[in-house]
Parts: sequence; structure tokens; C-alpha cells
Amino acid sequence: MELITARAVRALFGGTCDLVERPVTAGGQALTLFFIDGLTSGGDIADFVLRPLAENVAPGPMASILRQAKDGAVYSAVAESVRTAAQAADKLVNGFCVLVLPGMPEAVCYEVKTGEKRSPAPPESENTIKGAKDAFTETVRTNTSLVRRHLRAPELRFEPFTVGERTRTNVTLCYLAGRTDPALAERMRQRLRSLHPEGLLSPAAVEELVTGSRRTAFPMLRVTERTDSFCQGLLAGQLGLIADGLPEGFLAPVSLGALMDSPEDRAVDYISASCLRVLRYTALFAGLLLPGLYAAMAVFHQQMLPTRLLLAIIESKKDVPLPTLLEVLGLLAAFELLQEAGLHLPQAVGTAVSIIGGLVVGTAAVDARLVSPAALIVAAAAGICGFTLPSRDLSDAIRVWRFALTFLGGLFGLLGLTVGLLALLVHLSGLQSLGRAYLAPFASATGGGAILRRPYTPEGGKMS
Amino acid sequence: MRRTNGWLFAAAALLLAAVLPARGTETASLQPAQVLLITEENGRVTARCDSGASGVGDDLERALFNMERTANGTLFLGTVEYVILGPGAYELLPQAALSARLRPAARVCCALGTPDDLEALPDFFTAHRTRATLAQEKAALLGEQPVAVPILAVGGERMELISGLDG
Repeated sequence: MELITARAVRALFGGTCDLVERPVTAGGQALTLFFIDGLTSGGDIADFVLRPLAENVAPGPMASILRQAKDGAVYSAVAESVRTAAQAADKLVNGFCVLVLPGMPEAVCYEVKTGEKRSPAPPESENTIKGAKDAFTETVRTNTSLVRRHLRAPELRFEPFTVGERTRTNVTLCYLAGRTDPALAERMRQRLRSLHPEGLLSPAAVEELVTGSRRTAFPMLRVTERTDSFCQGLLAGQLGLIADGLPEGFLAPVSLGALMDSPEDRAVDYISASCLRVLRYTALFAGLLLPGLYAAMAVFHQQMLPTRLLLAIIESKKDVPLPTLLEVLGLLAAFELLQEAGLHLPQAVGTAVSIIGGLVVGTAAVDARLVSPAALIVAAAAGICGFTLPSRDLSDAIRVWRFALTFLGGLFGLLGLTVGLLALLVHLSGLQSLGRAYLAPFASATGGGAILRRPYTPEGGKMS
Repeated sequence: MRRTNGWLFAAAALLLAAVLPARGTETASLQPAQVLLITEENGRVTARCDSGASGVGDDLERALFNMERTANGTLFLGTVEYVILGPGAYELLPQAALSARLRPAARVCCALGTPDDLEALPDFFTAHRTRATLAQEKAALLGEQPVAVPILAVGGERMELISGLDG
């Protein structure tokens, strides 16, 4: 078997400047200590590795030094052996230092991770007034500890995987044994083992790789930055994924009902929560259908509008040069542009852009008779309805379908809109997340239970 | 399977596009009418609305058809809220009640005299609400309890509802 050597480790990293090579003498033998600057703590290396090596290791042959280094002469809490340079490299990039002993078949790795990492902070996009305020960070071990603090059951399982040929991203599969279907966990394990991408650096990469090639805009995993939501999912039997470098947790399988569930629902009483959910579902349909309905009504079905409303719309559109369909599609596109611009600008400038774009340009466009106030209100209302959805990914999917339905409504009226809606229903019915139907909560006659939140019961009944 | 679905979808889209030619009317091009005045003289029915359009025909349907055809723009009768049967046209009430061009919810009344300013009528009727609608008159034709048609007295610029006032 090829021996692990300092030269092999050095060659793997090709002279990168952050790989530090430190010659060490212990027990009268010359050894080499490797670590990566920035990932490790210099103080810990000096205090808990170098000092014990110099002071505690008794002189002797190299095999004796190896035995002492592994069996307690060094104070590091975690000491592991590796036998190849690749394994040593894997440990190095994960915050270990590697002690290479010339002529020995194995090297010893000590965990000396740096303590420099972001502390858990309140969630940025899933805010609630009441409830837990801790959100995931970019460090997988911090995240698992946060989950463990919420779920102290010994049945909570974490299984490590490494994904990404270049990024070597640590991905942790989480589930609650006895609560999660073992077949689901096995399916996810196989999926994670079969992944060999170059890298895993973004939430979309996790979702698309884990769920496989998909032809839908709808999310197949639920992404949450809230640890309590993540744990709630685990309690409900979902599988969790935490990837190093991503301040989010991923839950699967997911359904439309689960995506409409907001952390706020669990922060308020079940009656208020149920009312909010009904409002949210109304917003879902309004955000999806309102522009299409307006286009269909204004072009094809004027007789369906109340007379006063129709007269108001006719009056407001008198001098507008654009056809209704183009007007609505243009306003929806402008809304998307504003949203995109706001995302990519610093917060202070983003607010200014929103004010200038939304208020000044919007008002000017209406005054100049480029668009009608009715169309502007419809586009804005649809946009606001989209913002009420708790899942950003679901909201994005709705935005895509909103355009399609508006197009059909403006070209073919209510019939086109109905055909589009049916196509959406067929599409959603065919979607599966880890083998579970996307519309599962609404499949039974008691589908209303997916919309309303059930009260907590003393017996610890499952929450919807 | 996916390929079959794709073809089915394409066929459905083609069918939809062929069966449903885009025959919509832009709202901005509509000429909404709120008041329709129907008169009859020498067997010729005249329909006139507050948007200025008018049409003449042997019966009400023909008059409405001609009014739509000759209107300057797309006359929209879906917004007609008040149907006034002028002198000589009271007998046309059944035709108005059965007309598919007029809204069943449109209120109807008989006028003693011909109002000149039709545009003033919506404000008048907003202030003096009447009961009878075309739907009720149609129901009466089918055997339901008849509803008395209000009578509007017109004298110059002065108008007065002399019966059928709501409440």
C-alpha cells in the first residue's frame, strides 16, 4: 500500500499559499504538520497539538510516536487516522490539521477548526412577530446544533454526505427516526450518493440536484431559514437537508399545502391562523388570476362587469393607446423589473428605486395616459398578493404562470383562462416530490383541513 | 408518454386557436349606452340612446340592430340601465323584455312625452329609483305577478315620475 507522505499532500494542493507546512520534532523524530490557514485556529494548534507533541511524546521509533499521537499524548478532542493523501486533504479542508509521520501507513488528523463563524441571527425573509428568532447560518455544525436544541429527542438522526467534486460540500441528512418513512430516507441517501456535480454552492443547485431534472417552476423542496420551521417539518415526518455554506434548511417531500404554511400560523391562535390561511389562499388565486381575469373581462366579457365599474374602466381607458393585453403584460413586466432592480441594489437605493418606479413613474404613466389606472391597480394588486405567499419559490412559480394565464385570458377570454387553469391543475396533479403527490393535502374530501390550522391538542396530535 | 402528451397539448392549443379566433373588443373602443329611448311612429320603431346613436326598423330588434350598425364606434348595450318607452311605443314592452340585446336588470318606464336630453336621465333616475325591470316584465309575460311600469311625465326640461316610485 502506498504510504501517505508530506510530498503527496503537498502535491495535491499544488503550492497554494494557504496550506501551511510546519516541520515538528517529537520524540526525537522529524514530522510534518499540515493545516490550512483561515480554516484552523493557530492558538489551538499551538496549545493542543504542538505543545503536547513537544512535551508529552516520549522518544522512540516512529511506530511508537504514531501510537502516542493517536492515543492521548495530544489533547485534541477529535483525533482520526487517514491512510491516503486524498483523505488527508478532505480533513484539511474541513478544519483539521494533519500530522504526517514519515514511513508510517497513516497520518493523524486533529480537529482545530477556527471559531470564526457567523452567529445565529434573526431570519431575514421569514419574519414573525412572535416565536423563535434563530435562523440557520452558513456552518453546518452550528445548524445541526440549532436543530438539536429544538429537537432534543435521541431519535433525531444526522447523516453526513459530501457532494461536489470541487466544492466538497458537507451535506447533512436529518430525520426523526420513527417519524420519517425509512423508504424516504433511503431514497434520499441513494440520491445523495449518486450526485457528482462540480459544485454545490446555491440553494437552487441543491434543489435541482436532489429532486432530479424537473420541468416545473414549482418548488420540489421547501427552503426555510427558520430552525423552528425546519424542526416542525421533521416532526411532521419530512426529511431535512442542511448544506455547508448555505444559511437554509431544505425539507422534502413537499406539497402545495406545506408551502402555504407560514411560521406565523404557529405563532398565533388557531382561529386567527386559519383566517390568515384562508386569506393567503385567496391571495394565491388572486395573484394568479387577477390580471388574466381583468384582460379577459375587459376584452371579451364586458357584460359580466357591473355597469358602474365598466363605465369607470371605459372612461379610464379612453385615451390609452395600448391594447388591454399589452397594457397588462407591460405593467406586469414593469413590476418584475422593479422587483429585480430592488433586489440587486443596496437597501437604501432599492427603497428609492421602488418609490421612484412605483409612485412617480406609475403616476406619470397614468397621467400621460400610457396606462389606465384600472390596469395599474390590477397589476399592483396581483403583485402584492404574490408577496403574501410564505414561500418565495412558490411566489416565483405563480409569477411565471400569471404571465401565461394573462396571455391566454387576453387572447381567448374566459375560455382561454379556463384552459390555462386546467393545464395548471393537470401539471400540479402530475408533480411528485420524493414520490409524494404535490396536491396530496387536497386529494381527499377533507382537503379543507390542509387550509385551516388545527388546534394543538394535549395528546400531542399532529398539526396540520 | 411525454411525447404523446406534447402532441396532445399542441393539438389542443391548435384547436383552441382555430375555434376561438380573437374576437374581443377593446374596452376603450366601446360606446356604452345607459339610457335607451324607444319610440314608434307610423309603424316604424326608433331606438335612440344617450351616446347619440339611433336606429330605425320595423320592430325593436331591427331598430336596435340598425342602431348598433350605424353607431360611430362599437355601441355597447350591455350597460343600458334605463329603457324608456316613449309615446306610441308602450306596446313594445314585451319585445323589450324578451330582447337578448338588453340587460334583464335594466329598469323600464313609460314616458308621457319625449325627453330631449337623454344624458340627464341617469342622474334623474339615480335620485328617483324605480322598481320595474325588464326581467320582471319578462316574468310577468310568463305568468308571474305583473309589476306596474312607472310613468314618467316629461314637459320641456322638467321631468316627474308620477307612479312606480321605489319605496
